[in-house]
Amino acid sequence: MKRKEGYLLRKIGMSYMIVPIKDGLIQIEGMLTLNETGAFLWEQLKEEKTKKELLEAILSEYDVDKEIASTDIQEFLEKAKRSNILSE
Amino acid sequence: MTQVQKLFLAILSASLKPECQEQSKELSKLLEKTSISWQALYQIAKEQALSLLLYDYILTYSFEILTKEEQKKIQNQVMTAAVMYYHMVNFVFKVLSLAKQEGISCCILKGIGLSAYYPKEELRKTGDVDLYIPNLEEWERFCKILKSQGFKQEKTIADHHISFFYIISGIRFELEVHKKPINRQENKEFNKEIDKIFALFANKNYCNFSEIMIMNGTIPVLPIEENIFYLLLHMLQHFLSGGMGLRMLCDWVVIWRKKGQEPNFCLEKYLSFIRQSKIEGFHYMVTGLCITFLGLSLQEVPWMEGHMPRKEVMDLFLNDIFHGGEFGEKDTSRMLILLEKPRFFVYLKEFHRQMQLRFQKAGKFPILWPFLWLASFVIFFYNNKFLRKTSLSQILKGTEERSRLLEEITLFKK
Repeated sequence: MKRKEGYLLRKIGMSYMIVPIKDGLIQIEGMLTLNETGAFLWEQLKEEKTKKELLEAILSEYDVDKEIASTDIQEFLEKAKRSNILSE
Repeated sequence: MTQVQKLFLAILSASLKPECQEQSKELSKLLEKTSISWQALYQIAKEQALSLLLYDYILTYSFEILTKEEQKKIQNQVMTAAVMYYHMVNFVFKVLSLAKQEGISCCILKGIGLSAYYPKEELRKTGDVDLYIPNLEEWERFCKILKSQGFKQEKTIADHHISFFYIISGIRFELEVHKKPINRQENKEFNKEIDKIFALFANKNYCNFSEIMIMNGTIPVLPIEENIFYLLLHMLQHFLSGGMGLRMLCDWVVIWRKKGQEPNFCLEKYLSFIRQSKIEGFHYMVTGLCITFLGLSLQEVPWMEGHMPRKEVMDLFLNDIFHGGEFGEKDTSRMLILLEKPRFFVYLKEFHRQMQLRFQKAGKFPILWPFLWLASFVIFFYNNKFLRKTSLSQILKGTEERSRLLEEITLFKK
């Protein structure tokens, strides 16, 4: 899977936002808030990545338990799927 | 300068150059040890319209100092501001799209046109959109078009722009449509020089505006040299009326840091504008303030070598900025600075000029002047008593004190 074109990642204070841009205009109602892990995964998905590759990336970047990392990835992917920001 | 003011300037300086992580880490350690009241910092930031920069900085580097409730509160504020910024960006593109449809040559001045130079564009507080249409016929035509498109005109006491507002989904947007870059100033030679410098853009078919990127789209702005010069004029305009705040100095830092370093920036062209308009003293003063207090380096503005103002004079200017807040709004007794030594006749001249600014059409007819003077007098006293809640004596005292600042920068002198 890979992230779709037409989205900007912005860091505001302690949060991250995915900001959709369509036809030159910001789609404010389609904005999505992410935590740091979500933002990291979004950056990873600028190229095609499998779930396994995402897990490896998190584990090498953060000092975190494999199970927690898997849960975080799952939560992110569910959120991303609901918002239709990834292409399979 | 108080400790709080020093700390605030240090935070601003660090927030404008976030790539300097070491500086921010050092400042963060200092913030942890400090006994300075956070409320005092918030208050200064609010007065200078720089709360967003302060909040974002604290949340990025010093969030452990805050309670969970405070974190949540200021995080919400910066997020809300960011969303408002996105609404503003959409509004700008709507206005530009309308202008393009009508074949109108125009560009964006300051405001959102400066946001792009900040480390995070969402964090520069922008109240309205300034559109510049240098050709007078096109300006008139576009103002009519705006009215036909549902934009409502607001009463404006300015001779260089008309103000409109427009509501989208319950959000009110303000648009100033400029026919000139700034208000006519008291010095006529200065006005003539400004007209000369910006005359090129008045050609209906002018199409060499620069472009900058905001949030994945581009907007037209003045060419670099005129853009930086315009920013200086804008600061000067405010300095000569109620005052200018730290936000304008932050704009000055970022524009030099970004645009002043570009290979196609012609420094000599820009400096010729400064010399022509005889505002070198003001130019060196604001840049000196940015070097001394806001982290702009001499490497970024090497032409300042040998032109740094005296520290004690910069302290006076900085005090004026802190005392007045954004646009001088914190000090309600401020109205303007007089270019000549304050005397009764000079006040009368200025009063007459303000009357002509307020009544731009009627003020052209001398037969109406006695009635307009009376009307202006009444409005002046009403505003002082009920809106500004200040007195004539306080205004005159403030004017005299601030007018002394002018002596230090030899404005408009040959």
